[in-house]
Amino acid sequence: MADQTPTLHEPDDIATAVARVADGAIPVMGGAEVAKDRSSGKLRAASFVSLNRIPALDTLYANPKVGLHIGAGVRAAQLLPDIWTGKRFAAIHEAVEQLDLPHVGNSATVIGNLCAARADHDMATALMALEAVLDIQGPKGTRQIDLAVFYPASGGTTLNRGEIVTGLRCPGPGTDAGSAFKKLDRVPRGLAAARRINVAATVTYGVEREFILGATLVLGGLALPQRLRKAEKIPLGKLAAPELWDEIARHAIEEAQIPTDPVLRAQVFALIRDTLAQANARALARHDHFDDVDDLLEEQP
Amino acid sequence: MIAREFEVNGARRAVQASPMARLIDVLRGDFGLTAVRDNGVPGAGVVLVDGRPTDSALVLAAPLHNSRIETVEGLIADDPVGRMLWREIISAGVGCDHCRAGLIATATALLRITTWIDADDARAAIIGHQCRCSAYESWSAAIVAASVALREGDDAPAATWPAEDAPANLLHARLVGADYPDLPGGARVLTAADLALPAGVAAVVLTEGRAVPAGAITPALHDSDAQAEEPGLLAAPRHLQVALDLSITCMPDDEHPYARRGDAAPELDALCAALARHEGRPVRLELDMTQTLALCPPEPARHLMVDAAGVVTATPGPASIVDATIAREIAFDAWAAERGDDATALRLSMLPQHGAAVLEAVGAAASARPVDDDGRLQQASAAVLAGPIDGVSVAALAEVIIDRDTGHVGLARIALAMPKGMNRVLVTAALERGLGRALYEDPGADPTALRLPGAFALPPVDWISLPPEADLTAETAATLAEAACAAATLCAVGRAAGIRPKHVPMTNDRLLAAILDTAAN
Repeated sequence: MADQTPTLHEPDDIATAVARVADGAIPVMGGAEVAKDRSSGKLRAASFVSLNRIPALDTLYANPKVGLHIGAGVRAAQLLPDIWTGKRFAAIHEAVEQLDLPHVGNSATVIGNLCAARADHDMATALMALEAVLDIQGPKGTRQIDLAVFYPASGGTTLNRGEIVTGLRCPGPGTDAGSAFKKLDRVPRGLAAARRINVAATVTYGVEREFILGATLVLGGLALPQRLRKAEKIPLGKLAAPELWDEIARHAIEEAQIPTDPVLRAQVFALIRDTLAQANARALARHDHFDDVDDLLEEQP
Repeated sequence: MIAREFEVNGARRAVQASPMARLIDVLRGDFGLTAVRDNGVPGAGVVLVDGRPTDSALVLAAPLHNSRIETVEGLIADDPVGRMLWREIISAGVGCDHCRAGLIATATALLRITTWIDADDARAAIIGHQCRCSAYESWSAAIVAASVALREGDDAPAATWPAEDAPANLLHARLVGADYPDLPGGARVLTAADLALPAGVAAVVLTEGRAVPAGAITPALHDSDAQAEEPGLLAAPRHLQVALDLSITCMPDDEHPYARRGDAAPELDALCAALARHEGRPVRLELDMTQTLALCPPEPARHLMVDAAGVVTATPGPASIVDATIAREIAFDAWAAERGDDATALRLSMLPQHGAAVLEAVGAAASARPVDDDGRLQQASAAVLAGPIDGVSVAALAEVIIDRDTGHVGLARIALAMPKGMNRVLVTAALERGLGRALYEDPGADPTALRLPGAFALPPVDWISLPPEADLTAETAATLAEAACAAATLCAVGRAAGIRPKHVPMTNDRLLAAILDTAAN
């Protein structure tokens, strides 16, 4: 508990909210992280600013041609019934689907989950693989930042004082692209794994659907998520094959500097290989290109 | 303080709340709705916020201004779905006050969407909840029963949530440790540090001034026949529940495992010495080994009583019987493997007629075989016997599929042969606890961080009813079922992986380490 009675500001506009945050207030939307800290007695801040009355922060829009836009007010569970999120942004859909406590998704926001910067959270890993870019508003105006550089090696985030993440955008996937997210010890749920490891990946093909044009690979759980850019280059221009996933996994383990514990390395290896294979299968399973455009004409952001 | 309004169970309620108050603080503190709990058990604080299951302990109240809040008190009184769920849950005797409130809220949300559900749908809906009794099969069955009744247009009467002084259970105190405020009869939790206990003793639950019924020790049994028939079974000035560490290393391979006899664990002597220091008077250890002798346990006792004369008596608790069965059956499998014999056939040849008949009833076990092309997934089954206790045995067959690359274990099937007439709710919960003991839960570890089976842990169960045994109590039946499930699971894992499980629980890390170690050698 805080030492003094906390105050809660509830502005109607983002500029006022930014000013409050610049004064040291903690931004709150769903409040799940704050409530968690309060339950564990770790809450120390004395001033909070609610973003709930600020319009347009609850935007959720997904389309394979336009991309994925998640506002700061969007609860994680809102992603689950969205058909395009499930079909073309499968990695984040799976991360939300596999929340250890599904009911938390009804109160926790996606952006709040990212800003908490905790290694045991899953959504950052998935969104980093989907190449999410954060929309940030601060005293000096707005800026965008790649989620892959949001978490510095020293911990925390690269947010400056007074800045608020107002939403995120993921680019539309390629026509023949697939993504996947997996974590170890997902089933049975409700169990805290001795080690939480999560992996997200995307695989993109060219129009001939033969050679791999692009890939992303992110490892999380052991620490804040880390994009493995050297390993991502290995499949470029190659044909998909189990041996290729093995090769990528071996390089990824070295790039991520996984400790020498053979059990941990074996588990990370299997998880990376399986996630890439799943993303690849989804990329090759695409066959309804025209659906993307049909729906686009009917639902504009 | 800030002013907030909510629609709570159909009525407008206003409150002046701290900006940082959680919803559960307002519900319990301001509105007197105390069914929801903030006890560290996932899902215990779930209510419906605008119809969606939300953990009131993990959400602030202030942002929910003008929201519609429904708690179990209102659901079971005014909502047709909530009333039906309450009727089915009470008639099935499933759950306790620690998990019911949240589970009913979540199940209500599900059945408002559709009543055309099956048991898997129900399990998926409650996956974020933890039931300390592990009675997930009974929960899903009760939810499905409610769905059927609702489809048929049935209605259930309004109910009232029980008062706060409903029976608590002691084992739950292990889960939440010293922070738990609701122990009965002025009980308090002492830690190993409080008593300067030896290494290996994790926690002691000490109850003062109140008789503790046998059923209170194991929450799944607090409504059991044993409690009804034998109230005050463990009545004593004081009752101690002790969690000891355990590793299965003590079975010599050259000895017939069924012929082994138990020895008092050295930890018990050390515990008595520590207890004497705490009490400021001498205490004396008297072990009742009559039940454990048949089970050849490596550590025979869990429950100790200190009477007014300072005499400590120890009797075998469920945990020791489970651990002893695990040790015995794994040792037996290894012993048979070294002889090149089929373990099940060997068991049948060595067991007395009664035990052999029980074991035979669960069917033949299968050796390891690959499930996929590259042999990554291996399937195997094992059949074991638990008991005898008072001449009664229970047999279980477990079929598992292991992933040799990650160490993950999935249970494909359980068959259980036991005397008919047993309470299915209690026995199912015991099976899930056995699975937890085998794969996830270490009672000797930090008692505030127990790992528990989830709602999807237990596969379909084949129930095989044998002739009833007049002397078999519900508690004994549940303990034997738990022991059989745990031992069969571990033996099957060992067969599938080609290793001998040496530690429980056999977590995925431990299993993968054993597989890698075997491959390296």
